[in-house]
Amino acid sequence: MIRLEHVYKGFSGKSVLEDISLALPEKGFCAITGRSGRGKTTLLYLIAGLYRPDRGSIQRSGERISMVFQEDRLLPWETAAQNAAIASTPEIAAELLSELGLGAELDKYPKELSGGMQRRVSIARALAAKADVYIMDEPFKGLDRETHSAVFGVIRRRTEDALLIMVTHDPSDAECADMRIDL
Amino acid sequence: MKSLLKRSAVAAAWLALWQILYLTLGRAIILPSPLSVARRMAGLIITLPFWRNIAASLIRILTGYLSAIITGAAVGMLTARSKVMDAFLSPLSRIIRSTPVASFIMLLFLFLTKERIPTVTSFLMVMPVVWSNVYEGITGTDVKLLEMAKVFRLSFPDTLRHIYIPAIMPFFMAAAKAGMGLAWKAGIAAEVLASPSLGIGTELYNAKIYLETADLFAWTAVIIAISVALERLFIKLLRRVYDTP
Repeated sequence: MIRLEHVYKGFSGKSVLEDISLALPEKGFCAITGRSGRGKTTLLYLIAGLYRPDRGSIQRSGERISMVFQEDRLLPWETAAQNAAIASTPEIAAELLSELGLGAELDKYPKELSGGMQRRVSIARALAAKADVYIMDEPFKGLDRETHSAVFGVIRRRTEDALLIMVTHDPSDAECADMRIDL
Repeated sequence: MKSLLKRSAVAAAWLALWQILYLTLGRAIILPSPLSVARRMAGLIITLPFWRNIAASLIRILTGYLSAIITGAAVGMLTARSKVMDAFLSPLSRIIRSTPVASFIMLLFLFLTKERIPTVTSFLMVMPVVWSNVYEGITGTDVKLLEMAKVFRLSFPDTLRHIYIPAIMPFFMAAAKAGMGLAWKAGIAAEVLASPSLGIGTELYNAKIYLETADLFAWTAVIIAISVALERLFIKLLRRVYDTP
């Protein structure tokens, strides 16, 4: 279980998060919403362990984390299949890429893929990694409505037994959440 | 084919210019004709000492070059990972880079035999170049990719394989390519000054002493040809080992 207690975080003297306390369940879907600049990404980074709080504490019990970053962060020198397999096996990665509609693009490099395709490769990479907590920062950025729905279905199915924390600006995504954090 | 024709035409124009200069000067001891240099080169190629001299220079200079590549890469990684080591070693890099090659050769006379001076000179010319390029490659590695590696719990060998090595390779290739020319030129210069028993530099020195200008030109042509061949061969080898998309 991940628990944040009175967490403060700021950058260059400017406060981004103030006195955040929350307890996240072990399973389920937690949606984080809020206007731009309210610290949604910062909160995800704190949960992922990429940032340390300025004040307060974050307790984790050894959960394995997987993440879709706000940017795709793909390795430009590796193919879609290699990128997706970075934290898993080539078989699982290929299966996920196919599920996300990229079965024909396995051997393509990121620069050969469209923005939406690159986004799906980064989602495949995150889902392919075995984790207890899947953190996703606006995973549907750049996807059309139809692809958004299909990809959301894959994400929900693949994270059934884990905790899914997602930053989203789409009210319909947030409506499906078991828990909602509005910043 | 078109490019070959173009290159041949350019080469022919320069040869013609050389011939005109030779005829204008009229002194073969200062500027021999292209034909006499070609004849001298043909005469040298069929002798055993010619090949023994080339082999001796190649062994010496390539030993220095390869040692510099390995040491430069290792020191580059070390200084990029440790601020203390960077602070401690960076003055050394600056000193080596700003010291003229002739000063090095003279200083090396104090410590080494004349057979070893060209190897160490080549090493000293190439090592800082590889060092700084590998350092640049590592410190310039995208922090966002490293964060990604951290989140996905990639081991250090995996981070090295997936992120650091591909990020460093363009810098390393550039250093290896530039270093080959540097090592060759500095190594030959060291041979000229140190005059080891065998070597292209020694032959250059002898040709100058005995005023055999055609020999001087022929050996210079050999140096250029080997330099170009080595650079191409090495880059081909590197590309075979590591090819990026």
